[in-house]
Amino acid sequence: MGLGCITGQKEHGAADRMTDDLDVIRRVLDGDPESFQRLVERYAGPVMRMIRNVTGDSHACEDIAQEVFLAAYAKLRSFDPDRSRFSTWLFTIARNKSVNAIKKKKPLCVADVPERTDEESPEEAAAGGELLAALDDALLGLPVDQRTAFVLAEFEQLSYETIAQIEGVRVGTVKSRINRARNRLKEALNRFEVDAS
Amino acid sequence: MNRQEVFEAWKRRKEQIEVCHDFSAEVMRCIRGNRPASRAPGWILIALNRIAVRPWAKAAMIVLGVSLGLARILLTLQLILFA
Repeated sequence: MGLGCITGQKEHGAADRMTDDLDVIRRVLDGDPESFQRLVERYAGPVMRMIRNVTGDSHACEDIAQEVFLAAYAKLRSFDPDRSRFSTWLFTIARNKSVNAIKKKKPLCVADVPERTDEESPEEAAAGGELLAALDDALLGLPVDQRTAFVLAEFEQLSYETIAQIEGVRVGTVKSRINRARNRLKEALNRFEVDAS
Repeated sequence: MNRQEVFEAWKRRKEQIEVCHDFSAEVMRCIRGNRPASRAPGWILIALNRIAVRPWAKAAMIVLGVSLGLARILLTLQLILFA
């Protein structure tokens, strides 16, 4: 019962948010561009997180996210609420910008790899920062299509159907990409354990 | 820590994100900066926006434009040939 309640509330919240998104979009298209700030505030976190996790670049993700919102604003008239949710449409733009950024970026030499400056949490220290770093590297080593599908599924908790819409492929393709990504991350963990022992 | 716990710890770390408090204000500044100054009255812009988001309205505008163009050509031909 409890879970049902939570799911119900979640769905209700998502529906409310969708209606509110459409209200804001209508206001922007009716000549009130300042309303767009509400959408930026609502989606800045998820969009930036997705970009950072796909590109692996925590410095550039803010600039790319800014480009995403500017592109969304410029193309807002082409958004069709009958075809997708606003969040799905926005994630599609973010996904394409992230993939373009990866393609533009020259491959890093070993000497260019940025030092990890994130402070280790106690949890991270217990797990072993090196192990988490190995997972980071394995994620960045995935082919781009597997990486984007995996990031959208695991970190953004999107459904397979939504990811299929974002990626422009069939649901079956999404599932196989995510499975392959999970297997490769498992292999990376195995390799790390073998190397460590 | 077993493998699942390691994965969950990694996932939690990847789910964390800090957004600059002035990020949305910065985006809005860029939007204001990029927006071309329009000399058209507000009601025209609103009407154009409404037409732009409705495919049937766009089609109707195209049909209207083509009809007016044809009418003008026929009128010109009539003036040249029969005036």
